[in-house]
Amino acid sequence: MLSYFLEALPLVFSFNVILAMFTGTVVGIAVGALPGLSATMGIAVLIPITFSMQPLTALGMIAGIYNGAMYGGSIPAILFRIPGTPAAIATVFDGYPMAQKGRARLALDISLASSAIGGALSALALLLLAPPLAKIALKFGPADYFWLAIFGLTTVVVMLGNNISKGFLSTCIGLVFGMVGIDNLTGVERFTFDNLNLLGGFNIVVFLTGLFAIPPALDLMLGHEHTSKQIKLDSSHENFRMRRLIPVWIRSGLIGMSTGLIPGMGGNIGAIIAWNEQRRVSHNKDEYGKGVPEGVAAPECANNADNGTSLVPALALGVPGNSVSAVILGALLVHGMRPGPGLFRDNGASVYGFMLAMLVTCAMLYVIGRVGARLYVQVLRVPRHLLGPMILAMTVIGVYAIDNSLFDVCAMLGFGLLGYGMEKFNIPTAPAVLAIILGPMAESSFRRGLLIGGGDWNYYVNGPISIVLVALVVLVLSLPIIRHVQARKNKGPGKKI
Amino acid sequence: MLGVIGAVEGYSYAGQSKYAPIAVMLIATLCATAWAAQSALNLARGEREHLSITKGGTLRFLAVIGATIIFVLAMTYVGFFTSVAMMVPGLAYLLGYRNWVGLLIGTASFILVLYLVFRTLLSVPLPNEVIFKLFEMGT
Repeated sequence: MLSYFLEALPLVFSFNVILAMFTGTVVGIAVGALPGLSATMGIAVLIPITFSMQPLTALGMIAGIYNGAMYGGSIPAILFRIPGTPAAIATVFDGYPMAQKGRARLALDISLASSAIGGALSALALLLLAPPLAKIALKFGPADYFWLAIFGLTTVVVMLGNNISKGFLSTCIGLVFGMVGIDNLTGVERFTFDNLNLLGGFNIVVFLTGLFAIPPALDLMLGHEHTSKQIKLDSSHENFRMRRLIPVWIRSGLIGMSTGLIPGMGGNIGAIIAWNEQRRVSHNKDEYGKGVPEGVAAPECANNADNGTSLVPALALGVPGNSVSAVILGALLVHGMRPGPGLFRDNGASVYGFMLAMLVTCAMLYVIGRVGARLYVQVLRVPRHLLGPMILAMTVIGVYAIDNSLFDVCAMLGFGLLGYGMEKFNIPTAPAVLAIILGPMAESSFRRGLLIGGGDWNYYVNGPISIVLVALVVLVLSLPIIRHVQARKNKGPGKKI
Repeated sequence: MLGVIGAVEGYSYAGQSKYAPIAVMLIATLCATAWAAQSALNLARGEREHLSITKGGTLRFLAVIGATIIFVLAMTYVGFFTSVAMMVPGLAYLLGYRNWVGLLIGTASFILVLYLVFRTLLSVPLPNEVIFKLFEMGT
């Protein structure tokens, strides 16, 4: 571990990587600040562009976008009551009232410091947790991998939406697209319909870019044009002791890191839990929602504190817990790195470099956010109807650059329309993306298990890891039933209409 | 329907290759049926999920689809940057953005950034620009 760390250290501080991290952070804050655009979308657009870069340069840029976008989302949340990203919803509760009281600059400063600290805590957790988990994962057999993939898929479906059937339908869509092409184990063509372009299957980046970059671009283009008014921020910083926020950062950081580890949870849920928890432990509960600095610090620290930890299962096990980590997993695949326990052995320097980049970009975020605050506020004035076609052109050129294939471009646009339709029908897209990654892993592990076990189904529940994972899958699947029963109990017989 | 057709297609694959397609397609069919049943139940209860479709929204959607198809087709014939120079301001105008200065400066700076990143920095081979060929022929 230490040797990889020491090998990665000078690489991260090389000129190219620093420039990439800087650019990523600058772009990330702008992406996050624009309502409708998210970290997932920013990274999805960027992956094809980074195709010809060195892996660590590309990953440094991605780390910058991820951390930057999470903070960027708080800018419109504080100034206009419009969360730039879903993770910034809880920031609105106290951030906007602070802005209304003329304390916008302080709210932005608190948000920036909290985001940087949350992100740094999470990056440290990633550095400490991922390598040991990868070591444990080396003991996993095909049956364990099969159940791990099933666990990842079911958890995301159950955690993400209220409608389980829509969640599983989305999973099936991803699984089907993951099956297209020649079956590696038997050589059978599946769902290719004699089309030569489909023999190799869909490139995962094409699927990710289509599903995550096109729907927000369409939303920008189809929505009504509204550019924000000119906003001026005070140049003077209010005299506020940030030290008083340390307990808030510790509590919210722990909440954010924990939610990041649970598949399907992510920053938006973590931020709301952190805000609620902060309000619960506070002596002046009634002040929350009216512009309390702690009410900004808690959600902002939590939504950045999940950044690193959400990557722990993705890097160590190859199981992404949310859509951003799925997209980052796609980026690793593009650069020839196979996520999972072997990743730390085969690409040690790059992976440790990436984890360090997650830490370094938090420091960069603080500096860039501090210096460019007034500039980022102006990002909100970019006309939506001009920005939408630009994103469309960026995705087209990015996907075309991968293989110089027009078929890929058309497929990406098709996936974009599919994603847009899914969003309109409230079908979550994240399960589909996780399924296209986890589906092939589940299938190949299942079939290897059949071979190793000689067709004996007991093989799948023989090992202790498999048994634990099966129990977790059963637990996750029973959650909606438990919720339903609890909801009925809470209603009570007398309250029935 | 698609699920059933997919399951039938999956059944035609040889050996173990058929297991996953059949299983996934049948699960998809079950989920779609459950969704349809839930929707029918909600309709019967008078609870509807409102999907608003306006005439203006439909026209804008069609404009975006049309412009995208033309853009992708034009890319191979006239070159990437030329088609971007036509699509970005054209589509923005169609969608209702009427600030000519903004259109001009926005498009020009966007193309410059794209050129610097994709051609100069990354050397990505993109479809040739017809406009440059015409200039060459003229000289």
